[in-house]
Amino acid sequence: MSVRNLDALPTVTAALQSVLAGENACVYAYGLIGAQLSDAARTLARQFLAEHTASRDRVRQRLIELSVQPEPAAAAYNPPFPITSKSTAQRLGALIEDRLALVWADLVASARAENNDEMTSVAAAAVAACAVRSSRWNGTTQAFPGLLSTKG
Amino acid sequence: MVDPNAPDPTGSDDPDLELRTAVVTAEAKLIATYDAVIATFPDLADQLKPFRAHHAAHLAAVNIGQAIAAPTPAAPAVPSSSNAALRQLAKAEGAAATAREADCLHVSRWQFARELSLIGACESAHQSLLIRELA
Repeated sequence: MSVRNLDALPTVTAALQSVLAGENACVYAYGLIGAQLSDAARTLARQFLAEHTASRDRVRQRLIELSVQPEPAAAAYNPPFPITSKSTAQRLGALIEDRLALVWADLVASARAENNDEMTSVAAAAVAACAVRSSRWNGTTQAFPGLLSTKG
Repeated sequence: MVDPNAPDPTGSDDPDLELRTAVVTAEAKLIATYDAVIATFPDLADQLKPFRAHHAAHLAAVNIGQAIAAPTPAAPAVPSSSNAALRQLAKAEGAAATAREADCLHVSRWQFARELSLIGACESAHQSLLIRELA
């Protein structure tokens, strides 16, 4: 089993824009998710929303530091299935974290290829954070977080 | 730039062979630890076997072409209570996750860096799930 799905290696800048898009999508999705949850699960959604908002802001700042205009967020993001219950909200939580883990993993690859140690470390830590958050929603993980759940 | 369509190196042509060998050894040790805990506390088997399977998948992915002779580490000592055993596993997973994250800085091929980041992320999730099991 070979773990790679990159047809070509993006630049760090391009990979950062993808991460920004992913973080923006997560921030939007956590609004949908939180609305279906109560008590501890809602608190968790709020905490994860705060983590993604902070991460999104850091990524934006990095792009600005690289003299690159950060791509704006979309006005809305269509969830892949209707979010109408606690279970669909939790399923979406796991799915968006899995997807974002892979986007950050692409940045690991790009940053390593450009010998950018600091960015490599930041990105690798972010992959782990996504996998941990995903596991909080579905109580499990995968050998290569995101690779199976986001296929197709 | 490495051609993404080039076949994976499998032996002496692999600039990351030394690091791969270290990861294979680390994964084999984790598998041996899970085996020892499961043998001592069969009630934990349902919970721990998927995690063990993840490590087996890590080992297989890193050991491309079975170029590295996977070691068979001696069974580690298992604590006398299941909670202590889970804590031991959580600690081992945390150490492995930290090591894989650091390894990302030292690989030659970016494909391997990406793979290692996902392996470390899985191990971070294991650590989190094991700690929550104890809470």
